[in-house]
Amino acid sequence: MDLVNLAAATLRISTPLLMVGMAGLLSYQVGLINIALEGMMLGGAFAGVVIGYELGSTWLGVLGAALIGAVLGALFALAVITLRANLIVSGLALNFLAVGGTAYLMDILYDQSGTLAPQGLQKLPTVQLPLIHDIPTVGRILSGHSPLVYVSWVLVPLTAIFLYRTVVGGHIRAVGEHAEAARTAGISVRRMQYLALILGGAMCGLAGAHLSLGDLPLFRERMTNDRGFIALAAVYFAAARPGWTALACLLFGFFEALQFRLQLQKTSIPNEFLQMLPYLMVVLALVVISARKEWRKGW
Amino acid sequence: MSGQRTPLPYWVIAPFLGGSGNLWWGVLAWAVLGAVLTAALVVSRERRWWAGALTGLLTGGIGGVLLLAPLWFVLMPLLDRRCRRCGALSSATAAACGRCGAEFTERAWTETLSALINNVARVVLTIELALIAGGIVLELSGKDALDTYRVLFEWGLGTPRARANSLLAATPLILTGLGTAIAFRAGIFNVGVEGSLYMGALAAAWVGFTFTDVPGLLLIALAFVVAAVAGGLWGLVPGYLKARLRVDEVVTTIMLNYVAIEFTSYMVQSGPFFVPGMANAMSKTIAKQAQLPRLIKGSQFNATFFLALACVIIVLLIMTRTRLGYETRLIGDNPLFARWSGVLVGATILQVMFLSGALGGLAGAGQVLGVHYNFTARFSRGFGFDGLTIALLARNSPVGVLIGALLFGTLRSGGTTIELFTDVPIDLVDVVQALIIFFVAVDLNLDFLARRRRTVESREPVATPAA
Repeated sequence: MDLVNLAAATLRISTPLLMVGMAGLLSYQVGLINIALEGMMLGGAFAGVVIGYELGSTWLGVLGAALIGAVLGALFALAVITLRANLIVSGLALNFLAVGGTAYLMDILYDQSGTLAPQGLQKLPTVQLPLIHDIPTVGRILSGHSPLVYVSWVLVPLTAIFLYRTVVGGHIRAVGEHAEAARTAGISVRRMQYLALILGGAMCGLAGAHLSLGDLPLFRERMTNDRGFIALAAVYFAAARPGWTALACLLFGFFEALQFRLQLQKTSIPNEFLQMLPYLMVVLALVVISARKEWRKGW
Repeated sequence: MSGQRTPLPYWVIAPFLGGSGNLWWGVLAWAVLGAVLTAALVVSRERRWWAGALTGLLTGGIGGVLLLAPLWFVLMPLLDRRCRRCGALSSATAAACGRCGAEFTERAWTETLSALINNVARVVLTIELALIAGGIVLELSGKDALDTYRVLFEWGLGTPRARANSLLAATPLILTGLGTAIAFRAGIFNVGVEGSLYMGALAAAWVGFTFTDVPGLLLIALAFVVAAVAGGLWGLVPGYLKARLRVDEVVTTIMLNYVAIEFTSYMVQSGPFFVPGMANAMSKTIAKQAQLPRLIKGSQFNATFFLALACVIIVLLIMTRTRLGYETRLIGDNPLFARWSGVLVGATILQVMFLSGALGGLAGAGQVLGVHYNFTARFSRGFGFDGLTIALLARNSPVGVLIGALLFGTLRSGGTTIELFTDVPIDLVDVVQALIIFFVAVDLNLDFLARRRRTVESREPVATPAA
C-alpha cells in the first residue's frame, strides 16, 4: 500500500469533514446540536454545480454553494430560534428537504435523475504550494490539492481564534454555556444563535462545494453520504474544542481513506465490513467519550 | 397523460380537484369532515366547549370545502383559556395556567374522546397542509398541481386494487411508526428502527428457508417471533449504550442503521446466506408454506396488515393500561422525576428499546413473508424514516400512527405512478414528506401564536432590571 497516496487521500477526504466539523462546533458552542449539517452540505453541493454551470464559473459556484448553505442555515435558525421548533425534528426535516429538493430540482431543471454532470463545467484547479511542492515526499502529500483543502486548513485556526479571541466569539460561547446568564449580561441570545447557524451553514456549503466541484464536477443524489453525522460525532468526541475536533475529523477521514484502499486491494475482509468501519468508529467514539464522562462522575 | 384513468367520485377526492358524480354531495361531505374534525379539535382544547364547537363547525366547514384547513390557525388564539384565579390567558392546550399555575379541570370523557379525534384531525390536517405547500412548489416549477394530485390519489385510492396497494404500502409503516412512537414516548429519539427492520427481515428469511419441514402456520409464527427478537436485540444495542453510558442515541442509531444494512448485505452477498448463481444479492426463497397468501388479485396485499392492526391495539394497551406504559410516559416527561419516584429508568429504557426494535423487526418480517418471499439486500425504501415521520406527525399516539401510515401509504403507493403518468418527478413525495416533518417541527397547530405570546411574557422580568 502506498503510504504517500494514503496520506494525500486522507487530507482530501478529511476536507469536507473539517469544514462541517467546524460548522458543527460553532452550533455546539452556541448550545444547539445541529443535525441539519448533512442537509446544508447537500444543498451546497447541488448549488455549487448548478450555479457554477449556469454562470459559467466554478469559483462563482463555490461562492453560490456557501451562500445557499448560509440560506439553509438561516432557514434552520428561523425554525429553531424564531418559531421555536424542536431542534432534532427540524434538523431531520431540513435533511429530508435537501435530499428530496435536490433530486426534484435536478429533474425539473435538467431532466436528469441520479447524477448531474453538466457539460463544460470545470473542476477547481489544483494548487501547487510554492516551496513545499518541491520537497520530495511531503510535497506529494501536502501539495497539489484543490484550493478548498487549504481553505479548510485555514478555517480551523480561524474558528479557534474567532471563538476564543474575539468578543463575538466569547459571546457565542457564553450563550452556549448559560443562555440565561448571557441574556442578563446584555448579549442577544437570538443574534448569536442566528450568527452561529448561518456561519455554520456557509461552511457546510463550502464542504458541499468541495464534494461536487473539488474532484469531479458532478452532483450525485445523497452524495454527502452522512458526512454531516460523522463530523457531528467528531465534535462530540472532541467536546467541541477546535484543535481536537480537527484531529478527530482527520482520524475519521483516515479511516475512510483506508477503507477505500483496502477495498481496492484483495483482502480477506469482506467489502461490507470495510464500509461499516467509519460508522462503527463513530459509535465507538461516542461510547468512549460517554464512558469517560461517566467514569469521571464515578458511575 | 394517460387516457385510461377513471375519475374518482367527488367524495373521495376533494371537490375542487374535480371528479365524477354529484358535485354538491362532494362539497357537503368535505364540509362535514372539516367541520367535525375542527370542532373536535377546538372542543378538546376549550373550556367554553359550545363556543368552540360553533367556531369549529363554521371555520372547519369552510376549510373543508376549500381544502384550506389553516383558517383556524388564525382564529384559535381567540379561544385561549382565561385562568379563573389570576385572569391570565394561556394556550388552549395548557394543563395549567401559565402565570399562577392553577390547574384547569376538564370533564374527563370529552377529553378522552376529543383527544382521540384530535390526533386524527391533526394528522389529516398536517398532511393536507403539506400537500398544499407541495402544490405551490409544483405550480412554481410549472407543473399542474391539481392534475398531479388527481393522478396521485386515483392511483392511491381509485380502484379496489389501488386501495389494496395503498394498504400494502401502509403495512410496514404502521409497524415502524409504532416502534418509533413508543421510543419517542419515553423520550428516546430512536432513529434506528430501520436497522431493526433489516435485522428482523434477515431473521425471518433465515427461519423461512431453514426450517422447511415445519408446518405452515407454525413456521410463519416462528418467523415473526424470531424476527421480533432479532429486531429487538438490535434495538437493545443503542438502548444499552444509552441506559448504561448515556451515549446520545440520535447519532448512534443513525450510524447503527448503516451497520445493519451493510451487515445484512454481507450475509446474502458473500456471507453464509450467499446463494451461488443468483444474479442479485438475495437469499434463498422461503419455504412454500411460509409464504403469506396474497389476498387481493393483482396486489401483494397480505395478512401482515392485520398483524399491524393488532399491534396498534397492543401498543395502545401497553401505553395506556400497563405499568411499563406509565413508566414510559413518566420518563418521557421528566426523567429526573421518574428516577426519584422509584422508576428504574435504565431498565425501562431497555424494555422500550426492545419493543421498539421488535416492532421494526416485525415490519421487516412482513416484507419478507408477504411481499418478497426472500431477503434482498437494501430492500427497504426508507420504511424506518417514513415511520419516524409518521410518529412525529401522530405525536406518538398509536391511533394517529395508524391514520398517518394509511395516508402515507397512499402517498407512497400513488406517488410511484405520478412519474409514469405526469412529468412530475417522484421526488415530490420526498419534498412533501420533508414539509410534513417541518410543519410538525414548528408545531403548526393552534397554540403556536399563544405559545409565542407566553414566551414574550416570560422574558419581560429578565429585561426589566437591565433597563
